This record gives sequence, structure tokens and C-alpha cells, in this order.
Amino acid sequence: MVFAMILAAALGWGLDDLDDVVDVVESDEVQTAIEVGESFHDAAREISETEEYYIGRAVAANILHSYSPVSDPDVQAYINEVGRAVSVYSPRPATYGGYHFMLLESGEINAMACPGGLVFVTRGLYDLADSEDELAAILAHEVSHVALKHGLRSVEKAKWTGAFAQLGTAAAERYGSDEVRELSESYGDVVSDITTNLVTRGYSRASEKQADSLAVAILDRSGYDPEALKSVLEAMAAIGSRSGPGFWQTHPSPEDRLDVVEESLDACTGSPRGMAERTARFAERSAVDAGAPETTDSGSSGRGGRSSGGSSGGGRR
Amino acid sequence: MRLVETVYSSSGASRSGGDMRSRGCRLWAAAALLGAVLASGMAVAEDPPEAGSQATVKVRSQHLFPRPVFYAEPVAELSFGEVLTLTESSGDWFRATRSGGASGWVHATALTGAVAGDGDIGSGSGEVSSDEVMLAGRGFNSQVEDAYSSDHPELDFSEVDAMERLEVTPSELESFLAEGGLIESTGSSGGDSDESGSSTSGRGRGRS
Repeated sequence: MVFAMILAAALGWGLDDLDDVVDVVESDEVQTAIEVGESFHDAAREISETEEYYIGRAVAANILHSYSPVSDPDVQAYINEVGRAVSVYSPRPATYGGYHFMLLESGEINAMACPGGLVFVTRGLYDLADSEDELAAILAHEVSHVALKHGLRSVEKAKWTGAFAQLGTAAAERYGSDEVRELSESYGDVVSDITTNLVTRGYSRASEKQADSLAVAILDRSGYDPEALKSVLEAMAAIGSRSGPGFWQTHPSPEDRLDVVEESLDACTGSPRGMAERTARFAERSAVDAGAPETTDSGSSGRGGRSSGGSSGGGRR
Repeated sequence: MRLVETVYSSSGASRSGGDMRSRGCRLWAAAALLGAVLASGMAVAEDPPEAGSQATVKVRSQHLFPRPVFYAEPVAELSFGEVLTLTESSGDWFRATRSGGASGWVHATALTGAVAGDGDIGSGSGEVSSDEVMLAGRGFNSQVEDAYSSDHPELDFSEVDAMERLEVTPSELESFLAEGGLIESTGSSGGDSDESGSSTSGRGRGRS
């Protein structure tokens, strides 16, 4: 409670407004986040917007080394429109490089949010969505990871300490060759850590809970149906076979996540409108381009792809 | 210690719609505060922008909008490092004036209160903010990315460049939101005065 009071004062909020959030700010996850952040304090400063951007670019380059983009420009445009429609309602709508979304040609069920706002969704996960609102729910979850800086938080403290020992205090306008070499190694360590966490290890369960809770709030605020996160998780929960790379390795079970989402949904009272129009738009914009290559193990017709694409690792380069 | 970057969002959200008693708002407030708390673990001693002061654009591409929403036809395009004068705030947004005189609204997360040259990054004292480092072009930057890319020729950064070209313009966003029933279709970017106090407020969906 003391921590909440300090925060309330710092934020200029009255304590009357905080009775719903005291449990949140006193949670172990938040305390853990603060402990992780101490490595930044020790290093005299935190990561900057541009540094986050360049880290995110390299993580994205590593992901794109393993996965191919879907070649249909229309569906790439659509996923960016839906992604933008939710990202502007996040607590962090502007980042240095902005939010950009890309659909990957893979039957895996997976999504990966790089620091700074580069967000990937596999065709296998996209096909699990049955409506634009469910796609928005998937993207809102990933945007939440970006807004909460979960990628940066997932890096081992020792790697930040090493990086910050070299960053930000030298006087030269450009780095010398030795400095660049050392910085590149530290950069590579950080990038490698985040890439591994995104692709194979996953974020902490606490981070996933936070992203789900924030995603519900973003959906609620944007006009999309917050219940869509629940329905897409229910679709995941209905998948029987859960082996293989991707989502099943990197996320808590959908059943566990549904508990968190249900709790967050209890606070939503809106009544979304326009769902029929959006669902029709989803069906139209998601249609596979006849000229685009298709994966062998994922469908393209909403829930029809669920049973076949659920446990597949197909589609990686 | 100054506050974290997401504080603007939190405080703005708390004013949004003026009804902190609604559960929808409280949910958002809880989530936004959580974001602020988490970010506080990583990001203190920042340079938040303030009305009545100068601020610097800290993102690569951003716009001045005629009203405080991201989907209005922009007044002007801003560049990284551009210094603006902030005249007033409303929620998460600041009304800003460029040196040439144009004015409009810009979101707080696109701004820093730091101004290039203020930080003494050459001192080695360790008392420098990340924004000051950023404005000086230091830290992990394009030079470091180039070195990393040379060491990893298997990685194709041109694909990342292509991804970054997947953009949605403000007018495209407005059309998309209106067609999907996510905002009221006004046929104009100049209305919706009831949204001025909100942060990227949509159609102000009612909460019981």
C-alpha cells in the first residue's frame, strides 16, 4: 500500500482512484520488474528510444532469417491497419520507429513482438482468428508487450551491465573501431537473448498476464470487443495437440490465460458496435491471394485451420 | 527522480471522459498504471515534456494534428530532433508550435523535455539521461547495427527496412476506423470536440 501511495502522489492521482489497482502494484511481478530495472539504475541510465529501436531491428532480422513474410501485400496492409487501430490506444502509441506488423508464412501458432514496435504474427495464428476483433485481440496482446517493454526486460541483467559499461559516456561524436567492435558484441548479446526469449523460451508468465490484461483494456478503449481475446484463447484451448515450436513453448496454457482475461473482462462494460461489418471485412481481406504461396499445413479460412495448424512447426526457413 | 514516460498516458487516461467512476475507465487506469509501474522499473530520470516549455521530437516520424487524435488529417509532419514550443496540454496530448509558426497537437510519447546539447555526455559522470544520449546520436545506433550486420552476413536488414515501410497514414487510419464502426464517420477531420480531453479517444463509448 505504501508503494501505491507513493505512486499516487507521483502520478498526481487521488488514492480514491487507486483502490482497484493496489493489488496490481503490490504484486510480486511488479516488484520483480523494479528489481530488474535496478540494473539500469546501476548503469546510470535506461535504454533510449533509439537504442530500443536498433535492438528491435536486429531481433526482427533474426526472426526474418527463420521465417518468410506472406507475399500478399493486401493482407500485410490489413494486418497493419488493424495493428495501428489498436496501437494508438496503447499507453505508448508513439515509438521511435513506430509500430509495423508482418504476417509470416508459417503454420506455427506464434506471434513475436520486437522491442520498439516490430510485431510478427504467423499464418497459423492468424488463421485461428475468426473475426477482425479476434485479430485485433492478438495484436493488442503483442502491442502490450512492446508498450510494457517486455523484450528489454527479458534480457539478463549481466548483459545490460556489460552493455552499459560501454555506452553513452564517451566524448567522441562517432565511435572508434575498437568501441564499435565492443558495442557490437554487447548489442549482439542483448539481441540474442531477446530473440531466444521470443522464439523459443517465451516471456515470464507474469509478463504474459500483464500483456493479456493490458490487451483487454486496449480493446475496450479502441471499440473492439474485449471478449474477442477470450474467444481466440478458447479456440487455442480447443486444440488437442500441443507439441512443436512456437506458441506452446512460449506462452502459458490458454486455460491459464483465460482465467486472467476473465478477471479483466469483468471490468469492461462497453457494448461494441459494427462487429458484423468488421467480420465481413476480415473475411474479405483475409482471403488468400491466388498468386501467393500457401503453406502446406495451415488453412486460410478462419477456424478451419485450427485443427491442422495447431501443432505444426511448418513454414520456417 | 522524475517520472516515467508512460505517466503521461496514465494521468491522461485518468482524465479521459471525466468519469473515473466507470469501471471501464478504472480498468484502463489500472492497466495504464501497471504500465507506468513496470516502466518505472526500467525508465526513471527521464525528461518528460511540460506545457510552457520546449520539447524535442524523439521519434522518427510524427505529425502535428488539428485535434488530439492520431487519425485526423495532419497539419504538418514533424522530424526527429525538431524542437517545439508546448503551449497547453490535454490528456496525453500537447498543443505545440513549430519555429515556423504552425501549431497543432502532438502525443506526449513522441516528445522529450530534453533539448540537444543540454546533456554533457562527454563528462563521463554517468549523470546523463537516455534522451540526451539519444539526441546526441550515441548508444546502440546505426554504426553499431552496421558492425553487427557485417558480422552476421546471413541476416538481411533490407527485409526489416521493407517491414518498416508498411505504414498506415492518418487518413487511411481514419477511413479504416470509420468503415469498421470504431469511430463515428464525420466526413471531416475537424469535428469531435468532445474528444479533446482524451488520449487517442475513439468514439467515447459509453460506460454504464
